[in-house]
Amino acid sequence: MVSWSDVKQWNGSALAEAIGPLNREYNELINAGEDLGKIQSPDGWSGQAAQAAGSRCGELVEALGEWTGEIAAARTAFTATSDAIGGVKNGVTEAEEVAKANNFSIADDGSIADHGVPADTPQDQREAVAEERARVKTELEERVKNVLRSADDVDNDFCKVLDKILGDTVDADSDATSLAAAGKAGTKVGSLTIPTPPPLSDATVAQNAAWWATLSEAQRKRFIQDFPGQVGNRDGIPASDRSAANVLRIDDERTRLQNRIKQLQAERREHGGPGGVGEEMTINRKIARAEEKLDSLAAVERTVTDRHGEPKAGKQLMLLDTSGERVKAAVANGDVDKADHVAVFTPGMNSRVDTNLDDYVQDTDALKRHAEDELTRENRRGESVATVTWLGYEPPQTNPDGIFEAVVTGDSAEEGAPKLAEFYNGIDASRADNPHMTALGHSWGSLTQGYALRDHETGVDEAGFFGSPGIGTDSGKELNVPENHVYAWEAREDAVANIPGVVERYGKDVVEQDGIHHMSTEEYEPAPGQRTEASTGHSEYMKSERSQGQSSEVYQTSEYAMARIMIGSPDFTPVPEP
Amino acid sequence: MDAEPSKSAFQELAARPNIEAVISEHAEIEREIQRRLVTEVGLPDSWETTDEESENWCTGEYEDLDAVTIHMPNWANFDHPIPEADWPRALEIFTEVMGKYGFDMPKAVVDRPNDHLVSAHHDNGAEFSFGTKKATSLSSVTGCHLTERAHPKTANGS
Repeated sequence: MVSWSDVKQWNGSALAEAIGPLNREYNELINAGEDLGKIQSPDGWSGQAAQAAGSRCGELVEALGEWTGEIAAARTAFTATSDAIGGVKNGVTEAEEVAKANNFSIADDGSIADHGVPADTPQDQREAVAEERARVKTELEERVKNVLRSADDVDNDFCKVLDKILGDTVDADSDATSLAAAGKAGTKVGSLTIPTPPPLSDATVAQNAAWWATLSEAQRKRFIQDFPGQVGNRDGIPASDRSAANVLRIDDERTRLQNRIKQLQAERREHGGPGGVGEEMTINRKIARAEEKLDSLAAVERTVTDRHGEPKAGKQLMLLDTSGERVKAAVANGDVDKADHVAVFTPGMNSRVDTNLDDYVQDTDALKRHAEDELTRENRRGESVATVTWLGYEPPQTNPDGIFEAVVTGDSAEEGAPKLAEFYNGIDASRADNPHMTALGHSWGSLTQGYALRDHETGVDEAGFFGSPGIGTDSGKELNVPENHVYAWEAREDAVANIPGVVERYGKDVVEQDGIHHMSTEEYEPAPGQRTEASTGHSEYMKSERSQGQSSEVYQTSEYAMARIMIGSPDFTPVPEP
Repeated sequence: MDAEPSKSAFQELAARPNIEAVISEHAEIEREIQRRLVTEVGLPDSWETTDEESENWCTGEYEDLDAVTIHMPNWANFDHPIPEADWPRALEIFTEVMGKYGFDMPKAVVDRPNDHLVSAHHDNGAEFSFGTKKATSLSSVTGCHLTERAHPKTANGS
């Protein structure tokens, strides 16, 4: 069993340095084998001496077979082990960085030493920081466990190869008839296994982050290429890796859906005729659903592909899920792995990937630009912003007649909340540092966000709610967000924010709750002739005038306020009229 | 998504320049504002970009057209705010340049002593933001424009 102090001492460079000499040795042996093969039966030489010489040559080649296999096994194992040690060491470094950033340390036996809430933590944030640290401690325990498990795997795999080399059994199971074939057999023996991922369905973000951290760059690339489905939607893995995997999945998902439609069409033909009407209607519904998913995939692809047909710079596809009724997706503007400030926007009812994703990604891109302008105006050089649209749940859809009929149950918000919480935590766990994170929820998304922040510990530092039918609380203090960092906007003429009988069901009207800053959506007249834009109605907090079909940018009061919150410097002027 | 783009939506965009021309124009406008702030307000010419160009496909009635909007790279002039006494002239310059390129009068987003942010809009959906506090910022997003290959004037034979 490898210990934490052992792993800290590991160094793969000695193995890496031995690979060159092993390669040379291997090539010399192959050449020698070829030379021996040529002189085994020289032209014109026959008789007993020739037979003896030929037989001796054959023995030499056979003996070289084991040797060639051993060297091939050694060079493969040295390469793989050196690479895997890099992964394990990366896991050690990340764990120690997380520990240090949160006032923990990791002892030689792998136990986590807690040095308490940092002394310079403001009094009003101590409770929130203590809760956050409890989560980090669990994450650290997972990280240490995974590093040690990977280290054991590497150690065991490497020892097995060395045992075979020392026991002269590399070539034992091979029926190789040439040195090259013996070399191939040796290469097979020398291969190491990649650490197995935790179960996709119920692994925690800490387990996912810890597993990924212990893989080498080469192992990660192989995993993304060969098993993108194991990487793309795994919270806790860096956004850039998730995106690379999800982009690779689009074609496969499209083919799968197209095949599904063909299969359903064939079934429909079989059920044609009298008596099959009910069955046919069911199949038609399934076909329509699959076609809608194909449209969603096209929308996703469009979001991450530029006008030249290349992957769009500065976009990350952090989630692509075609299961369930509708496609789920999350798209980032900027680099979530490196940005100092990350905002996650959760859209509300009637939001769908096929019809709305483009709009939201554009809105949140504008928000990123405004927040970065604010960083500039504050002279905060080097800080950056990323914004994510998270449509990882299936918001209710209103039917054409009864406008709010489908909104009276909150199931999808309750189902979406744990997924959203995992998504927030995944961003934190995928990075050694914790970004300053803002949660922004609109409409039903604000209820989902409210449940997520009420019922889960997340790394969210600021929470904004707008156009909300309720957030599942009677006081903003019920949310697991630092005190004084919760904000709400309610525009004039926003019917959803005032649905009779619905608001009460999901907690107090958000603008009546204490512990929440009530932000202005009104226009603001700082000087005669100059004014900001008010936002009115349910869908204009981040963007306006889309109802006219015009993708027009009008910088609004609410957008400015969100941009300031996202960089951690809220501006409470102007305030709403009393 | 399935709806065919209307002919009028295409015609509307075909009457605008293609996106590559507009990207060049935005860069030119930004440079013009920056140069005039240097020569007429005395702001040091130490502008730098803080991010990369970002592209989004058009939505709404243009959604099914081969058309995009571009967030131009944001500009920063770190360590150099525009002094309060110079702000009125800086705003005049911004207003003049915006007007020259068909933008509306700028609207204030924030307007306090030593803390200013304005935003100017174009009928085609473009926006420029300009502000100063502890440093000076300038950023823009284009309206919706056809790609070169889709634009009747630049598409090869189509």
